[in-house]
Amino acid sequence: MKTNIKAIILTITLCVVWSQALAQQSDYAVKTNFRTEYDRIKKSIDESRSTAELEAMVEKINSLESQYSAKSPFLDKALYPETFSGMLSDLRFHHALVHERIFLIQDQVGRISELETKMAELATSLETLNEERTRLFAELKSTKQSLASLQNVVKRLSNNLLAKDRLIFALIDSIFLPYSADATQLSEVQKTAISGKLEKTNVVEHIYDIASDNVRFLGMTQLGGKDYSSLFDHYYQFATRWMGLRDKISAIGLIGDGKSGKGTANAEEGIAATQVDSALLEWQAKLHTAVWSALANEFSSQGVEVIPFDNAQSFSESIREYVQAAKVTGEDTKTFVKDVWIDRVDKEWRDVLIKDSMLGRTEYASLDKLVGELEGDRFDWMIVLYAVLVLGVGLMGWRIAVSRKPKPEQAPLATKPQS
Amino acid sequence: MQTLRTLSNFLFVASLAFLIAACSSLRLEEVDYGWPVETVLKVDQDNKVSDGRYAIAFTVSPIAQEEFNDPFALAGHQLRLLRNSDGFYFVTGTGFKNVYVFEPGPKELRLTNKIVVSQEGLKHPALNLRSPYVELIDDGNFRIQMTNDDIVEDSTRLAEGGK
Repeated sequence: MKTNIKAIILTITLCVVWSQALAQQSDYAVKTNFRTEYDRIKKSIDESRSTAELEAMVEKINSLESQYSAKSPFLDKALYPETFSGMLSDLRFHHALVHERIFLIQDQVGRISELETKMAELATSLETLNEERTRLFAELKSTKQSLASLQNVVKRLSNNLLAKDRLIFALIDSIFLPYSADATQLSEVQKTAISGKLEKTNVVEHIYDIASDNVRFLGMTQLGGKDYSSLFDHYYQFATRWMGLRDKISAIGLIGDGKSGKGTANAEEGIAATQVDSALLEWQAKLHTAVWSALANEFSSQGVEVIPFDNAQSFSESIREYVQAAKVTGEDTKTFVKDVWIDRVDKEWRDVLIKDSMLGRTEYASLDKLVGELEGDRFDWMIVLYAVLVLGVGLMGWRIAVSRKPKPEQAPLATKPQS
Repeated sequence: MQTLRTLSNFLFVASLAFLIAACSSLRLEEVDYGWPVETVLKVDQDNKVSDGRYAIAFTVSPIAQEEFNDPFALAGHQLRLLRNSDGFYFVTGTGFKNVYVFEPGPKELRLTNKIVVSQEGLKHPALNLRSPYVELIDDGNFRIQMTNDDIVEDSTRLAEGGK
């Protein structure tokens, strides 16, 4: 009994003391405790790495509000110029911003993971193509087999180079796809991420290799007119894509180009953008040289002597000179017109020559018309052929019409009268 | 007649003087100088404190001398300062046995009262504004409410049995 009474008294005493302690809270302590808790929650929000962590922060903010709401009139004065409600509002807004950012990042993580897997696959495929390319170049160099075999090797090598081209730009697209199309709008964090991936996959070195391989390819092969058309298309597509990529990686600051003065870790060790530019220029020059050289061969192989040419302008002048001279001298131009121009140039080289970087459509049409003026007989024979055809059709029509005309009835034979 | 005239002139001048004096002393009443929360100031090595929010700064060596007989006793320590609604500054700190009440003047704070609050010295004091009083609390259940003149309420320490 006495023990119970003592326990009760002690409990009451403690309650009173505790209530007194509550009543004796320092205002300064209230202010600093609120500020400390506020800063702690804000820091926790900034350090959150998942939406789940942020969800827990909501409860803490609500708890802070409920804990100090009774003191809000005092805190409004103590925290001046800030207010209790203003600070909580800022905290909730900050929480919402961070939540949105982390949610977006989490959402993109999965996508980025897929793209990185794809990138790894593309990189592996690239290495496979590189090995095949090396083997094909060696085969091309050493082969002494038939023309058909050589052509087969050339075709396979050409396909290899095209496939590698498509692959490397698919790899580049995978790297840039998650980010803004405008590289200048990227944040520093994003630029660092992209440049890391570009360096890791040696993108610029691969591009340089492609350009170098094509230069090498052109030096080792002699192709026909139709082959060069696709090679031109390939070159210009590649060059256009390189310029687009060059701008992007320059904006990221990955590659030192000497002009902007931006230096990077890759500038000294790896391939610089200027080296790729040089390789592309060499590729273009090689392509043009190969085309004009092969085209000149078409004339010389048929024994047609024209003024030597090595570019579009000199080619045009050469043809015009030849036609003009032929008209004056009246020489036989059958070989030039039929065997060279019609059967070879027009059939095999037209697609290349009409490109804007070559003669262009208008100039080619003009030259074709000029050459056509030498080909007077051809038009005569064609007219004869047309005339024969028309006559033949007319005769057939007449025969059909005649055969369909109903035959008149024959009168019955008259019988000899009997004597 | 002359006396009456003199008297009326005198009254007139006196009234005029009074009126002029009254017009020159514009008064705003019921001003509340109270700070919502005390400010805790660290005493620097030069024995000075300054508060950015309330823009007040002063040297504390006289207080240290008065309280501890050593003008440098407060260097590196904290001082707690609160202004009440009447405009008086209440100053105390850890180890203090007194609360010092100062009245502001031109470039000075004049001591108006020294209130004894503890025999052993305050352990973790805090000043709260509880208008019209200033409340001093310390460890445990120590609580005193003061005006600039004296203590008006002194909650008993339960452990000491209501002293």
